[in-house]
Amino acid sequence: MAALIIFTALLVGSISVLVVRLSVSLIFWISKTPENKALVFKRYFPYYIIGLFTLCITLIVIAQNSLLATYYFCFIFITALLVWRYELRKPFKTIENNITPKTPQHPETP
Amino acid sequence: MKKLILFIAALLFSTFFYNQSLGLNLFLFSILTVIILLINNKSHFKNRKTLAYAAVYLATGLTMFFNSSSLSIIANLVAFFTLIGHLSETKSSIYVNWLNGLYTTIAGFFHRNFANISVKKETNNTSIKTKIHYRYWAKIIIIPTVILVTFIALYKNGNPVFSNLIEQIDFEFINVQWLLLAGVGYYLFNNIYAPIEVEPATEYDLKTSNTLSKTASFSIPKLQQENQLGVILIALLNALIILYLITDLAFLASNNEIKASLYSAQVHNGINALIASIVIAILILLYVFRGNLNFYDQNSTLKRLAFTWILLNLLLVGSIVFKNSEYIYYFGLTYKRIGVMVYLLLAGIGLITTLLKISTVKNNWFLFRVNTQAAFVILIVASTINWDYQITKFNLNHAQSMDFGYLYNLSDNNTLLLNAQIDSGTLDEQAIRLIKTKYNKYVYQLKTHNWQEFQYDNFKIKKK
Repeated sequence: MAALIIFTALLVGSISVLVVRLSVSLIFWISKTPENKALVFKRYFPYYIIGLFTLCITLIVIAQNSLLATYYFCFIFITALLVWRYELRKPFKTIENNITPKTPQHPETP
Repeated sequence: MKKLILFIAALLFSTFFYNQSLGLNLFLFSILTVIILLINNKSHFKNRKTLAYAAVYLATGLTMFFNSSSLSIIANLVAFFTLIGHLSETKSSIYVNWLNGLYTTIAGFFHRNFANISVKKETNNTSIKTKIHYRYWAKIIIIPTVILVTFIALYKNGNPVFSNLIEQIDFEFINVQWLLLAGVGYYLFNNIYAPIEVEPATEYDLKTSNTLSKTASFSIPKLQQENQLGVILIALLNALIILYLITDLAFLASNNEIKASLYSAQVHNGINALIASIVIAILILLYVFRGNLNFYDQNSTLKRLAFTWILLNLLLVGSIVFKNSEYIYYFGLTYKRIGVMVYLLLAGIGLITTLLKISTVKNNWFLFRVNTQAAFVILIVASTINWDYQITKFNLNHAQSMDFGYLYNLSDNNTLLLNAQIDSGTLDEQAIRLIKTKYNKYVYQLKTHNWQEFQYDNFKIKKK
């Protein structure tokens, strides 16, 4: 029985993480400047997180404030924040990135 | 120091709210929030508007203590978002304040953290330092705790006096849920102490002014046609509303003695349609005066007709207020009837601000900004009134007829008043029995309240 509970929890958890991960990736895919992560974050993160929060709160209320639902949606919310954090820290992959520039890079202008 | 304050605030948060219903705790939480915001945003609190929002927020917390109603909770929440949003950007509109307030509350800490990620990447040393910091704290806390617990267990077996002493220490009030709630409190205070903003929305709001300006598509022949259409349309609507008001006045004058069924049908069917007509009237005016027609030299007739129509619509609002007041006088106050009054008040404000918009050549953003502010003020004022108490008081003392079932089913806010009515001799035996049951249940509930859940009624029953 315990094994079944653990298995179900892991399965539901994994699927949820995957869905959240996909939703965050989708934001980057649809944005016009996915390489500019700071801009994507500035433009879309507030609306994404407000939307997710509203959805979580609504579903907790629909579930009549059940403890399980509260924990689950808190998990979803925290996962979303961590996925965003991961996305922002991860370097942006492009074909251009794999080619080493032949010309020396100019120093950044202040 | 900042972290310590947030830590203490988190512990207080859990103490206030863990396993408690709302009462005094919401007011204490409001005070705590204002203190945290004040410590971290001292310069903002020199602004009068900020002080006013803080005072409004505290007042809504206090209304929860006095009124204990859902409206007080909503008003407190809205005032909370308004204050925090205002601290994030003092010049933004109130609806942007709500957005910023909500965003700060749910993700302020992460926003600041994300914004710093690029900076952190450049300085790798910082991350190394952080790792060492965590390990250091883990060592400092975990190793002594494990050793201490082991020794306590050993000494407990060696000495019965020490064993008794250890067993007397009661940490029952701290459990996993309590700690989790404290964690939520820490997250909340960590989010709000330095308010942040939703940049795209705030920037757009700051860029958008209230005044209209002439666009490149300004064309006299086109505007002439639009003006003609507007004059004909609004003149016809004016004629129609005058006719309606005359017939309405005749109806009101002919019905000296009110008939319940007729009046009920009149009010229920009529008011909804009339309110819809006022909203449509505002929308038509907004459409007609949406752009260049405001700058057309020969628009004075159209403007006069529009002002007349607004004034006639205000008269219509007055007639509905009169009908609803009569209905209230004969059949008593209910939430629905109060709702109609609030709706009419908002419609009246909407009409006046539309008049201002047309006369001072403002855009629709002006209308939206002023009306959301008006709605906020009405919400705050409405939350200060103990509606259940006032409804009961009015229906018992002034209404011509009264539905006892309705009063009985209201919240506990009217229980003490209903109980005081028992001796008046106006109630039948069944009603008295119901009131006594409600009263006993409520008093028991009040007496079993913890200090966090205290309401004003707790002090009222103590006096008795």
